[in-house]
Amino acid sequence: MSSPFIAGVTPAEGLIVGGQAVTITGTGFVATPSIRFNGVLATSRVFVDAQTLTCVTPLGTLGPVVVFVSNPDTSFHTLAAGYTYVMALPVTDLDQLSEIQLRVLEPDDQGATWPSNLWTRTEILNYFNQRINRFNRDTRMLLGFGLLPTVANQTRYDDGLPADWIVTQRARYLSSAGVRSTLHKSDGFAIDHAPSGRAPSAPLIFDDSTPPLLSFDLYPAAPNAQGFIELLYASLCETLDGTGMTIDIPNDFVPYCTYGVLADMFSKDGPARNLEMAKYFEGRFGEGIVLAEIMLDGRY
Amino acid sequence: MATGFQNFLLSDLESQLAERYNHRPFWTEPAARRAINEALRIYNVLTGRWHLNMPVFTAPADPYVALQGSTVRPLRVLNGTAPLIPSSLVALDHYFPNWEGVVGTPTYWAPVTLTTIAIYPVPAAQMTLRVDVYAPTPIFPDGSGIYLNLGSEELSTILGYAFHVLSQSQGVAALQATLPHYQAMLTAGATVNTHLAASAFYRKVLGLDRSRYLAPTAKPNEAAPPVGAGGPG
Repeated sequence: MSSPFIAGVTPAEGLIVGGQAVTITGTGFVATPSIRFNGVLATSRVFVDAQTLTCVTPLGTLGPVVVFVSNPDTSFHTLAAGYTYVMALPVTDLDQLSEIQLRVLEPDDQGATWPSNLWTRTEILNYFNQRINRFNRDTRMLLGFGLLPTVANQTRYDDGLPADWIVTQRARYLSSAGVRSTLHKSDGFAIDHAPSGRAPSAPLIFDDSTPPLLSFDLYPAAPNAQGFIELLYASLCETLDGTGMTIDIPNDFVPYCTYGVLADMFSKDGPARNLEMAKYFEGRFGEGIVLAEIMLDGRY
Repeated sequence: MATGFQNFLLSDLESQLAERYNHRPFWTEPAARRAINEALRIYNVLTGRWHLNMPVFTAPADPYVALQGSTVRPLRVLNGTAPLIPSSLVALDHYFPNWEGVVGTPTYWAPVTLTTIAIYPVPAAQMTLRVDVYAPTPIFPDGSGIYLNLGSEELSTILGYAFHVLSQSQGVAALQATLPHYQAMLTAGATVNTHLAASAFYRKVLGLDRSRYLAPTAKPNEAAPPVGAGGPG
């Protein structure tokens, strides 16, 4: 009996949860083989012929793994990095445009040229960009970290916020001595009516809601120029342009953003308008936001 | 031993969808695949059907750790076999004001987003933690050879929801007629996810609070005759 030899695995990558049917090609295979991926036994192992085995991948660990085949006589062969586990396949803007196309076109229209005459492709991409940013503003799924150097005795920082800022999640003051303190969010009214003439010290409150856009107010002013404001903020998603870009929102929440797009499409004035449908789609978009809040246990 | 769980290919689910709801489907194969994939995604975010235990690697002196890929939610963080204590950013800020600058072996973790966690104290060197997460849904790509292990009770929920998704292209009447399938999906979520069952939003959609709306909010009219006291006819 000859020893097994693994030449390759097809497909060479699959999802981390396993379940992928794969074909192993090589030589010296015999009936009742043992097949392992990173040491874990594959299921549904089938001996096809001396050059071919098939099986279903088990639950894996991220990245390339060793593939192992042994014959009943204990001879074996391993192929380093013979298979790669990936977390998930990316969801792209093209996927979602196809998704919408299938949703809104009647079956008889499957051959119709996209875009339909009710909405343009650009319109839908605009809806998508607006919805994913709104979804992120309300759920704060994508956060950015920013560092704003303080200036001695200065309370107003025009253009102090990062360009991709949507809403501040948390602001902390890091003093020159390396001590942090959390700032409380306030509004323009509170800052405007705070006692004037207060000596600069560790800032207590901040306000990012007053114009001009991206300005940032502190009260009281920081005492020296060595400190920083550490910002944690919901950031803008990458702008989708319909060229196969990956959507920044986690995959399993993308359907909810798509429902938001459909709500916009069916709200549009003209023959496309169907407010009953739009109401349902808008509700589904809201459902996604509530679900994300629940998943974070409201711990913003 | 017989089990309620079976392995299904995409083609199995597509044919079951057609058998259950429409022998002459009004949908195309790509539409069915997408509807099934959406059903799987929604089922996963509602129920946490697919779990993973995966390693994450901390960066030296960095309290924030990004989870790889498109995870749905972190559930538990372990250092070796020792679980870290779940906390929140607000609590860490409040109780350990300078926590981001404290170096040591991690004891607490807090979710920052669904795909980022914070750990405290912060390890000085790179270390490996293990995280239990809701994994991203294993969706079916084109020409997929993926097997999904599903239970029979899950199957009816998933296929029903997929049918509801497909019906959306048929207009308002079809959408409304298939709403029970959507509600069945939410019910399945609320059955295993108590947070959903406690949410006012989901309770309203599921009709769980209807009895409250039916309760009288005003004192009964005392002038009205008692029941059975006679009246016209």
